[in-house]
Amino acid sequence: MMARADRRPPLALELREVSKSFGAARIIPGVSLTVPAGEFHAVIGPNGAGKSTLFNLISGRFAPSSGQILLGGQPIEGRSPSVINRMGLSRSFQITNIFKNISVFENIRCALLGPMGAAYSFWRRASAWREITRETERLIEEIGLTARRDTIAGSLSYAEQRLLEVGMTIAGDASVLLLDEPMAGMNHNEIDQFSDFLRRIGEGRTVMMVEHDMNVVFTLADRISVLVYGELIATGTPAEIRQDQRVRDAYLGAEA
Amino acid sequence: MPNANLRTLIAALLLLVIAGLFLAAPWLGSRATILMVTQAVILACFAMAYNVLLGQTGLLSFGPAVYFGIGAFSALYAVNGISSGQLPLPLELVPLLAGGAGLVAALVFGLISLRSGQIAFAMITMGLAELTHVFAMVFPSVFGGERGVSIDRMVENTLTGWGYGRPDEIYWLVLFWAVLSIATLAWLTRTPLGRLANAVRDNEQRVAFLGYSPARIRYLQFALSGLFSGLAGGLFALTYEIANADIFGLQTSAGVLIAAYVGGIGSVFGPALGAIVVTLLEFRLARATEAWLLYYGLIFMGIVMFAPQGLWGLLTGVPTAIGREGFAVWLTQRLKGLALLLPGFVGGVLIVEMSSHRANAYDPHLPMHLLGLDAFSPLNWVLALGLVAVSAALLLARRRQAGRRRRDGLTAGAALAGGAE
Amino acid sequence: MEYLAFALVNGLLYGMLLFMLASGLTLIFSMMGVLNFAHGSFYMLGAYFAYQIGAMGSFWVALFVAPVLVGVIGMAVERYGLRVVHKHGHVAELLFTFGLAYLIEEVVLMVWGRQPMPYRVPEALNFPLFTLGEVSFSAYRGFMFLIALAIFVVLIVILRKTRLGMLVQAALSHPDVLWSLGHDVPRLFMLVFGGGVALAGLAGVIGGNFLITEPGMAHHVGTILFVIVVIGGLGSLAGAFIASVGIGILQTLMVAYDLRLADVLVPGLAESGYRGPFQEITTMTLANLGPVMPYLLLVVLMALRPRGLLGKRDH
Repeated sequence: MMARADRRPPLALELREVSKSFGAARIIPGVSLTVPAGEFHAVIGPNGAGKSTLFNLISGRFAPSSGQILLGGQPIEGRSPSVINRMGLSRSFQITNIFKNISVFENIRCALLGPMGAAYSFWRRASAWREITRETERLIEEIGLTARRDTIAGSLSYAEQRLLEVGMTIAGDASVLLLDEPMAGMNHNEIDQFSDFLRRIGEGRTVMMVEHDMNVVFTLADRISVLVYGELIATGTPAEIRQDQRVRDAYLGAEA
Repeated sequence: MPNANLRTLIAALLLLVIAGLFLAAPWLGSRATILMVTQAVILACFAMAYNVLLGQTGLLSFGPAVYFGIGAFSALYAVNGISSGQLPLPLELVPLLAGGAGLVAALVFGLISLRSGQIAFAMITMGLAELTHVFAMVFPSVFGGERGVSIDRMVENTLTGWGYGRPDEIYWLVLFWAVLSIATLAWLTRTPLGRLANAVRDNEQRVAFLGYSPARIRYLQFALSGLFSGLAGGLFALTYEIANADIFGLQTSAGVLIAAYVGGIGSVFGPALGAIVVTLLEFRLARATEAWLLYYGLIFMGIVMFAPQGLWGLLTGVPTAIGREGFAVWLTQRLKGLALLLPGFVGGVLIVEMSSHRANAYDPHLPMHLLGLDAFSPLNWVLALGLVAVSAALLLARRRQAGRRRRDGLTAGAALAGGAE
Repeated sequence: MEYLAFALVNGLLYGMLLFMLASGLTLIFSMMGVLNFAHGSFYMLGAYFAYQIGAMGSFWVALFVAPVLVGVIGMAVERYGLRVVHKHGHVAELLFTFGLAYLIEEVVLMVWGRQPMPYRVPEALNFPLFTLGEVSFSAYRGFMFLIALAIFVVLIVILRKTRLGMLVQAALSHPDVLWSLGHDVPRLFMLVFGGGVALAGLAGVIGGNFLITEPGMAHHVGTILFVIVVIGGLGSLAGAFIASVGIGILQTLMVAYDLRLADVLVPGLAESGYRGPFQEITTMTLANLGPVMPYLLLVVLMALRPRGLLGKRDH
């Protein structure tokens, strides 16, 4: 075990023959995939290819029907989302999934309370944890919502809600991030700004991202996996994927 | 934001006025008034405890009576123990013991109640409340049956040396514990647990994906609610010196639910305000009309349908509305609204009062107290129904007009202009 | 033996009556996501209307008119009440129906007073249908049975064979699908709510004279109803059926058998002459426990299987 870890970079995430069926429908027949630590890994594929299902399996929303999922070498398949999160994996959602009736500040602080050691406490005020307040302010600045600090999250614009969504995901320094279509519904301007932001948060973290915008995918990703009908038909660097004949046939060709 | 500051200012003023009134109450009123104020304070504490679940955590419980009742009965038994010398506890600390009993009950029942989602939670809390109610009725040896369990709170062992025979003495004791509880409950909303509870209310799923256990957050909140509900029950027992099995009934739960909602479950102090208003209504309206429970229900329905932010939200929202529309516009809008509703209000009251007179009066054919009306005169009924119809027609016309304007506005691409009536 | 048979038949009858209520409640909940707290109140209205119409005309007119009246009130409640509250979420909807139950009870108290109504079984059906041993089975019970059975069959036919039924079925399994089918969903909701409470009204018409017609009936039936839908599994019609009949039979049997609890639990406790807190346990019978039983069952089930018997989802 140790000897192997010396030879190869440590794996942040590893999927071994992971499958998922809903009743008779086999959404994912069996996916194996390794993501080394520090990699920016994109998952692409046509609609209904099972990308979101794959993320739901990794993040613990569903338990896989069979197979193993390892996070930093530890098995996580079938564990609850909260346990998986505490083991170091944080995810964002395709449909914005924030706390709509509390302020931007409270949204981010809620994401930080646990990781910074204040979860469930009821004997001190939340503001008594100065370092949490500081980190919250810093994160709000990082996602560029300082001007909206005290706005109720539900009344933010769509793009601002997406920023908050990702802000909550990166709060607390999870080592692995799953980003489910972070740019869904954004216009070109917003996408440009946002991909810079994503590049920055990818530094020092392992990121796995589902995204439809091919420009973003091919500029950001170190490696790309292509998922078609629940099967991984190719994994490789952007250059390799561009060259891959099966990918061109199954996916890229169809769009061109 | 200046609006937020203004809101806080208004809220602070409201609190100050209320606190001042409560401090002055023993000098202002008669015995009956002091009793009314005492009851308002107890209900305020209970409603705040209840709102830990409903407003803060998004859990609709139909069984707060369980913890209130358990608190009340443990206080009754505690006082009996104190007067017989078996329990070495000063009377002033009995509410703490009642709170402890509520906490223990909530820790046990919480395990069962919180196993399913929100809707099932509502039903299970109601099942548990029914169970406790019937249980209490089946065991008169403990809960005293119809007559209930009564105490004499004038015991030797007190901290203050007071006899607690006078209503103002017990009022001070109740006020002390209630204010302490209300302050603690308000403070709890600012703790990490309180903040996470708000998050669970808004989006349970995301809370789980952030690494927390929503079940644990709910359980802790449930326990805190039980603790302070039990304490309120203890205050009730000390004030009235009696309780029977009916304290566990749906009436108790409905009362606190309505109080909290009318006051406003979205704010920290709303439920306390609601409790005060509801108690005032109960004492004043009950004296004025037989049908007061019906009015009470109608007020609740009106808030549910048209003002879910509750009285607190309405009051603190006034400066924002004035700031947005300008005082003159705001005032004319409100007056217009009142003018629209007034005929319906008068007609509705007439209908309710005439029906109530016909059903409940000793001799329904005698003229009513209200304006000496004859409850059987067809003319009066036509008049009442007509008034209601006028309001309904006016409201409908205004809604149609607003709807048309909105449509025109949208097609013209100027939705904003249409929105400002 | 005859005694047991009668207890079972009566239990089944009571269970069928409960299912008439529970089915409407389940349909409304599954399609609209609203747990109608006032369902028992519509049952009560059915009974009071039937009494009033019966006093002026006849029971047979009431049998048709009262449920229709209740249904119309239900549709109005949906159109002008629930629909307004809908945007504030499910908890607000539940609170609305809670307030409605409260209001209906107050109105009934105001119009008809606190005393039970002399709402009686119609003369034409007030004779023993057959007698077994010492107990006789009245014709009205047979009539109730027929109605409940007919409703049951009609419900199945509607669900299985009609377009409306298909829609309802689709909504039961996938609540979001309704909106994507391009139907007039608000109108459908109004019909379902009206239909559901009309069923409750019908149950009130045939049950009010058989059981009792008084202001407390809504609360009594309402709470048992919630126990049934939670035990059966929220949103499951089959679960509601099993729970209705199960609770109906269980309650009837418990009342029928005068077993002393102490003898079963701790032999000798009853004879010990114990006096003190909870002394009632020494003399308590199974029949005493009848009213508690549904709630006890609920608590036990929730501890063991939080989803309910056949429940799949919570919302």
